[in-house]
Amino acid sequence: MKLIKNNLIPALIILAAATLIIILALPLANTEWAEGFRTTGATGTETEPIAEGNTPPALLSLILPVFKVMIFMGVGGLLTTFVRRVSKRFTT
Amino acid sequence: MSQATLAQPKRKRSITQIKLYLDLILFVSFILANIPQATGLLFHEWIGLLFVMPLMVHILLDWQWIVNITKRLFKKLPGEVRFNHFWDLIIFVMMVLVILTGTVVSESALPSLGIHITIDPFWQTMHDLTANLLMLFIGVHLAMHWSWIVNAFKRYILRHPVTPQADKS
Repeated sequence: MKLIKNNLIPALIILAAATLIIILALPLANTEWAEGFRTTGATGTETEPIAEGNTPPALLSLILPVFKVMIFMGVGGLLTTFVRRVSKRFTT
Repeated sequence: MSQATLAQPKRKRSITQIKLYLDLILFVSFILANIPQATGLLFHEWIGLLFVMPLMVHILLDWQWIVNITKRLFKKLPGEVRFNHFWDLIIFVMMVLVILTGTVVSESALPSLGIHITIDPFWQTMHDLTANLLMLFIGVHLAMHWSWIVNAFKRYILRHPVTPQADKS
């Protein structure tokens, strides 16, 4: 009971914050900027249909997406580690 | 000998241990949610929606820290703590945007519930963009908490003794 009580208010605050972000984000769809995406029709990241007989091997289709995630997260992580090390060298 | 005396005393899990297990679940589901080409669209959409729950618990477990730092935001604070607070806020905004845009471009999960939405190319682009950015941001977040992750992992997964100084991080 105490656990629910202690977490209920924070959970409601988190939900309210998320709702606020959604309310602020939704009108973006009515901007000229958004219209630009619709008129060009180019989403930039849409997956193109794969020609028959040209499908990648099953193992590759599993490894490549994981590799992409690792690259993205790795770049962020390595950059942070580098910046932290450099800043520590200058502050000490 | 009675049943009670034979029973092993139940070990209480520390908050760090709970946080570590939850973070591992969060990490694995984040990776799985980000590889729709491998897992399939239906799984991607459902795990994306279900991701809200461990994310909520992740924030709730650190709620006291969030409140404390927010209160002291305009007072003297170590730069790293201030940065973590700011970065966590950005990640929260990005998470909400990824889940929102993912929901409005749902092709499998929502239609299976009888909810049909016309997919807007704008939201599709925003979903891809925010999801990719989020991966970068999570990389930074993990690097900022790397010593905590390593120490907690050593202590609770590998069962290595951790020095008290290292445990503070």
